[in-house]
Amino acid sequence: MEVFEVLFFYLSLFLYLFANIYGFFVYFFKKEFYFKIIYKITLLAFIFHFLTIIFRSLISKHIPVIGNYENILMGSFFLIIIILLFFKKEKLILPFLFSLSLNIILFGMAIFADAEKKPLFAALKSFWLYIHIIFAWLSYGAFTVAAGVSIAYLIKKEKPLDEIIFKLSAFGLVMDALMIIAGSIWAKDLWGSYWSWDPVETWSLISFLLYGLILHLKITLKIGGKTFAYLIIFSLITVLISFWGVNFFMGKSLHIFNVG
Amino acid sequence: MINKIFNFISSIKLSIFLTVSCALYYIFLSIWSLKSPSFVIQNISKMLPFKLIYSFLLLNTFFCIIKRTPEILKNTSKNLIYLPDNYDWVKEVKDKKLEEGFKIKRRFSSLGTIFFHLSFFFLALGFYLSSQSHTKGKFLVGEGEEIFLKDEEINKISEGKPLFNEFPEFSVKLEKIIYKFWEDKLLFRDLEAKGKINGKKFSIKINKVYPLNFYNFIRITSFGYAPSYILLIENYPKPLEEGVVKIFLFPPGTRSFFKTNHFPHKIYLSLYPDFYEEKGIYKTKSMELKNPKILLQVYRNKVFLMEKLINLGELVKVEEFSIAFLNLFPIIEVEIVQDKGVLIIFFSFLLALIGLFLRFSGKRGEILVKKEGDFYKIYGKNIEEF
Repeated sequence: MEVFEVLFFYLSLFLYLFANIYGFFVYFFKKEFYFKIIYKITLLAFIFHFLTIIFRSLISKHIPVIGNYENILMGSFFLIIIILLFFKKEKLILPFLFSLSLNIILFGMAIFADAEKKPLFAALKSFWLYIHIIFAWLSYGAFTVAAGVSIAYLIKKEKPLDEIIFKLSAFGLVMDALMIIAGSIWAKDLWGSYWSWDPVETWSLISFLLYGLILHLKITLKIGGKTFAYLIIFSLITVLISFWGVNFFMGKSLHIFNVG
Repeated sequence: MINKIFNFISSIKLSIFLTVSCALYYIFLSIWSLKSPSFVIQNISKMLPFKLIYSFLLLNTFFCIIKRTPEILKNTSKNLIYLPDNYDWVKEVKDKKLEEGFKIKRRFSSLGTIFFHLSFFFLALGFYLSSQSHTKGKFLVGEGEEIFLKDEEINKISEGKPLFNEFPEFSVKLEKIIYKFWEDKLLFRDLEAKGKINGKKFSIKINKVYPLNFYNFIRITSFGYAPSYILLIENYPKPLEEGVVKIFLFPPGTRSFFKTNHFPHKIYLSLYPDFYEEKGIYKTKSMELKNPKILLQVYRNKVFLMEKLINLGELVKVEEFSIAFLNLFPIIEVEIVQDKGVLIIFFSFLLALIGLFLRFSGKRGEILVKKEGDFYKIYGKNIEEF
């Protein structure tokens, strides 16, 4: 079964890459462009991605949420779901391609992550784990796509993109709040208190504050689209730190089970 | 003057300044945590500057809510159609639409903003109560053991504030400790304790607390093996002492000590549950009690007397007494936590969720009215929702 897992992983990675490179090529060389083709290739890659997760689950006997490799698989899975659902309605090629690029960077990092199979430890056997993680990835996914659309906005400066960034960031913020709430409730059961000032908790609070602030700036102070896009791209750093940075560079987190 | 102060406190610029300050403070906190133990960070987070920023932010949010509430409440009116411009022709269209019986969909959505921001106050209140009332006490209980805790005993084990006065006295009977390790690693696949509290069945897991009432709950904080022993002296037919020592011989190799009732000796023990030796170093293959050996070290006052690696049941002579460890029992450390902020924090979460649900659920109806010559043209795919 491990052979199938590896096979489907590389197939999906290859197809994501192909869709992305082909997409940029036809876009920048102004050849006849078919959004549908790029979208369908990505959809095919997504199916292989899904199969990778299925086989991984069968091998490890639990939903893949332990260690960096499994978290990348799942995180990238949620990210691509957001991309596919969002751009099915909004057929915007450049934001789609930039979002897909960010997904490839994330998904590709699975190659370097420790893929050792671990069981679901007693501490993690909780209903709240799934709630917490699903909202985390929906939130991080929305913030990542928002950053991808922001890059496209800085290149094209089209008004609808500005609104899309806002919608995605607002959705991400709501998911982020739900993630923090679910995590706090779980933490009470696991560590005995809602909040422990753990580095991951602190950084997720920083990203919540930052995105909340940016959205308030947009609504109340009506900041320009360019500033808004730059701020959204910059804020993605806090999301990256709360997921990778804290565990890799600080190593003192109670969320250390993220590390492969 | 009062207006100026009100405008300043309720200004978005102050919100920005305070939120950025909070974010910077947290960043500082997480960088500081690189070189400091976690309690230092917890102490820093309770320092005055943090409380000041936090209080200002709450004050600012409160005044922002006051400032915006009239406008928000106006938006919930069922006779309101929001249109971006305020020209006469817009008013005409608006009136016409109202005459035709159009209704606003999700008119209460803006209340979500108020609910969400109000939840911050309950959260702050919950945290305040939590910081004032949070206290805990730990006790050890072994498999098959029954213990009774009365008020004074609960107060004795409590760390910090003796807030267990209101705590009901209770009895714990631990019938079974279920534990499973993952391979040979120090990781639990399962850790659950089952038994009775005040005659009522209970189960606590490593990640699942057991509530005693609204603000008191118990949880498992540690697991270990506790040894039972007998102590013999010459020319005395019965054991002078026997029983279970409530110490954790866990994780493997950890050194713990106890004193006997009759002698001043300090008896240090280290357990290797699945013993093997590698280059003269004692190790364990797994966490299970497959081949348990105990490293025994005895001191009298500060004088080292002896060291020996022993099997269970092996009698060892130490000066005027002999000691043997007969068995090993699973034992857990249980923590009683008292936190009066718990329910309020939970309520604040609920309020925040209701707020977010109100604000973001469902589709928003949007229309665009454009004057083209003498006619009004109405755009918008959601127009049917009005």
